[in-house]
Amino acid sequence: MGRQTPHADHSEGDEQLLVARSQRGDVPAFNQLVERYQDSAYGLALRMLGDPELAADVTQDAFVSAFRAVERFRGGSFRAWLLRIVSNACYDQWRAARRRPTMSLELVAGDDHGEAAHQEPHDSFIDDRWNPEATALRGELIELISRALLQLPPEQRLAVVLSDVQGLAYDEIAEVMQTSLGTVKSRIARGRSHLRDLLRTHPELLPSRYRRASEMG
Amino acid sequence: MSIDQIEHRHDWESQRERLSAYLDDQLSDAENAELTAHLATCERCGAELAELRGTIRLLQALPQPARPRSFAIPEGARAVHVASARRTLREPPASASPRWARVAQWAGTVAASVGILLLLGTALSGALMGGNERAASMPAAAHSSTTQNNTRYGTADRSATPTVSAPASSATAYAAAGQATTAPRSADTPTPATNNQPGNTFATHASPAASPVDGRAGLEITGAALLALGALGFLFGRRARSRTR
Repeated sequence: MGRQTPHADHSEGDEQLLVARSQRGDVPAFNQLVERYQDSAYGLALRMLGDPELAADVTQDAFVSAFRAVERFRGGSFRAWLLRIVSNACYDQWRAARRRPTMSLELVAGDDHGEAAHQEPHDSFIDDRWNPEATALRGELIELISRALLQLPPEQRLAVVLSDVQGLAYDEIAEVMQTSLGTVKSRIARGRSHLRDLLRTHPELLPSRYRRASEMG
Repeated sequence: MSIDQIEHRHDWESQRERLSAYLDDQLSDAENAELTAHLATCERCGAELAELRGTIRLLQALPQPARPRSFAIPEGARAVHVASARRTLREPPASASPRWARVAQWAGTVAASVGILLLLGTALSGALMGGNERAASMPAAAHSSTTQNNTRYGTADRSATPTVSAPASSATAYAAAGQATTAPRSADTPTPATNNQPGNTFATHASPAASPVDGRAGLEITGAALLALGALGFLFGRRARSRTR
C-alpha cells in the first residue's frame, strides 16, 4: 500500500536512540529522523495547505523548530509529536493568510454542509467494492480529491488526512491534535461524510458512478 | 426546522459517527454487535456505510506527493538555524523573534524607566530639600542604587562618563538578557549583569553610605547611565526582533 506506518520498518529502540542523540545536539542523528518522516511531514503540509512551495517551506521550518524543541520531547510517539509541529506550522500559515486578504477564503472558511447527504442517503455512488490496489487513481480524480480535502474545515481536514491518507491510529491522531479520542472520532466522521458530499459533485470522475441512480432509471 | 427534524438530524449525525468508527474498528464489542444487527435490516445505514468505505478507499489510494527536496537540517544548525529558516518563510509565527531580543527590549525598558525615575528623583529632591535631608528621605530604590552605582564603578573604569560607558552598558544588557537563554552564571560570581535586575538586587544591597554630595552626583550619573543603557537595550532588542520578521 505504500503507507505502512514507519514504525513497521524501524524499531522503536532505534528511534529512541536517535531521539536521545538529537537531544544532545547531534545533527546527523536528527537528520536520520528527518529522513524517516519527511515524506509524511511534507505530505501532511501539502494536503493541509495545497501549495507545494509553501508546504515545502512550512515543512523545512517545522523540522528546524522540531530540532530546537527536541530537548523538550518527553517520549510517546515521535511521529505524532513531529506532525503536531507540522500542523501547528500550517495553522500559523492560515493565521497569516487571514491577515492577507488576497488568499482564497475557502482555505480558512469552514462550515458543515452535511445536509445534502442527509436528504439523499440512498443515492450511493461510490462503489465500495472498488479495489484501489488494483487500479491507480487517474490524475483528474487525484486532483478532485485533493481539492475536496482543501475545502474541509481545517480540523476535519487534519483528522481525515492523518487517519485515511497517513494511516495513523486514533490515539496517535489524538496526540497530534491534542484532543480527546471522542473528538478525534467525531472529526474523522464529519470529515469523511463532508468529503463524500464534495466528491458527489463530480460523480463522472469516480470509479463507479451513479450505481444506484442508474439502476433506478 | 422542527424539533423532530433537529433531533432526527442529531441522531443521524451520531449514527454516522458510529458507522465511521465501525469502519475503523473503534466500537466496543456490544456496540459492534448492535450495529451489525442494525445493518442487516437498515438499507439507509448500509448505503451510508458503503459510501464512507468508498471515500476512505479513495483517500487511501492517494499517491504520496513527490517531495521537492530533502528537509535535512544543515550541520551546525544550532547556531544559525533560527534566523535563516525564518527568513525563508513568507511570514513567521508571532513568536519568531529570539527570546534574548524580547528580554533585551523588556529589560531595556525597565532600565530606562528606572533611570528616568532616578534623574527625576534627584532633581526633585534637590529642588525641594536643598540636598540636606535627601539621604534620609530618599525612596529605598534610589537609596540602594547608590550602592549599585558604587559597585559599578568599583568593577568598571571609575572615570567613565555615562556616555562613554554606554557601549559597555549595552553589553551588560545583552549579558543580562542572555542569562535567560544561555547557561546561567554561577551565583557567586560577581557579575555586573545582575545590576540590571532592578527589583531585587537594588533592594537587597545594604548601603554603606557615601557622602551626600557624592551620592547625589552618583545618583544622577547612575540615572543617566541606566537611561542610556536601557535605551540601547531596547533599540538593539527591537532591531533584532524586526530583523527576524
